[in-house]
Order: sequence, then C-alpha cells, then structure tokens
Amino acid sequence: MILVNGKPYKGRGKAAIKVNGRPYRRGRKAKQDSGIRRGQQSKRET
Amino acid sequence: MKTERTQIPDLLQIIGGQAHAKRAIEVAAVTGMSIVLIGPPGSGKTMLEAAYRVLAEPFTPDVVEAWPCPCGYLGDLSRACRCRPPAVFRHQARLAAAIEEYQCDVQIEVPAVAYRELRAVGSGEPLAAVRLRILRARAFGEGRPAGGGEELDLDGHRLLEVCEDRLGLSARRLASAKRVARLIADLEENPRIRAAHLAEAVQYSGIGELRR
Repeated sequence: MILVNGKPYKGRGKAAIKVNGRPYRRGRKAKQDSGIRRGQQSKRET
Repeated sequence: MKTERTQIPDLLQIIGGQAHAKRAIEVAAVTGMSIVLIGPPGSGKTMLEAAYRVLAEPFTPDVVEAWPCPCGYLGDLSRACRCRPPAVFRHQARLAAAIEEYQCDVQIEVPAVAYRELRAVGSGEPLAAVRLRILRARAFGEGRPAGGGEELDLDGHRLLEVCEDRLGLSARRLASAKRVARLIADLEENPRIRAAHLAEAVQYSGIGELRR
C-alpha cells in the first residue's frame, strides 16, 4: 500500500481530456457533475 | 537557501520552448477563440492555458486540454505509448466531440520539452510585448463585420485546394483556417489575407477531422 501522510493514497484521479480545467464529461456524467441536483432549476437561489 | 522573490515571473517566459504553441495562442487571443492543447503530461499545456487566459483578457474562451491517447505518450519520442488501438480510437472520438462541442478553431500540438530548451527559460519574448501586438491587431480589426475581410487571392484559393486534397481538410476546417488567417493578417495589420497567412493558419487546424 502507498501511504501519504500516514493515510492510504487514493490517487487524485486523472482526466485525459479537460475543458476549462475540469474533466470533460458527456451525457449522464455531465449532468451529475454539473452541481445542479435533480428537480433543481438552477444553482442560483430564488 | 533563501531565494529572492521580488519579481513575478512572466507567464510566457517561464514556459520552456513551445515557440509554435506560443505563437498559436497569440493568434487565437486576438478574438479569444476556443483552443485545444494536445500533448503529453508535463509538456506545458496548463501553463500555456494560463498565459492564454491572460492574453485573451476581455474574452472567456473555452480551453480543451488533452493527452494524445489515454496513457498520454502517443507520438512521444522518448517513451512508448502503452495503449491498445481501440482505446486510442475511443479517446480520439471523445476528443473530437469536445473539439466540436466547444467549436475550437485553433488546435495546438504541445510536444514534450527537451532540457536544452528549458535551460533557455526566461529568454523568450515577454508577455507584455505579445499583448501589445494583440491589442494593435484588435484595434485594426475593430468594426469589421463578422466574416468580413476574408476574401482570398488566387494563391490563397489554390493553397486551400491543395490542403483539401493532400491533408483531407473538411469544409469546416477550411472555413476555420480562413477565420484564423484573418487574425494572422490582423496581427500584421494587413487588410488582405495572403497565402502565407493561410499556410500558417492551416497548421493550427489539426489534421483533418478526428475520427468519431
């Protein structure tokens, strides 16, 4: 096991394609990662 | 050892080598076009993105950063790519989709940098000088209607025909090469697009359409 600061190292993930610094997502994943929850209209509070 | 940190490093000068990529972001920054940076890990894509965002100041362009394949080393001279061909195809299809989604007119290859080039860090053109050229080009192109000033001379038409035949550039890529050539001419404050401008622009249009 690899330890970092005494804790198991989980890796930082990697994205082979990034858009504006974030991993490129399409479809369902894009929706999940958008930060907008189901049934929510937008991130803005109204 | 204590080091002096009185000066903020110049965002362009701290990038070693990559003269081709630096020129490409200069051209794209005139109108803040969306760009794609393709290269292996550690070649300077993220540093170039940071410099680009500063140069494109009034715009908020989309920047796609990508490895050429899932492992990142396809086409690299010093390391072997360990991807299987189907994985490479899948990766390039995703990349093609990203390029299309964000309408990237400028595709830039960012190869790995040799240490020899890194030693010369700090000696390149400062960001301020490049920024000045961009501001002048923007002023030159101001007020021109969209798609205006993109007429080609005979040499220009011939060059694009050759590119279509030999490089397999699609109509979309040819149109984007014309848009980019317009900006290159603006940087020279030239009202006409010449074949030389197009020849440079074609280098930024990627090799045809990626396979989807």
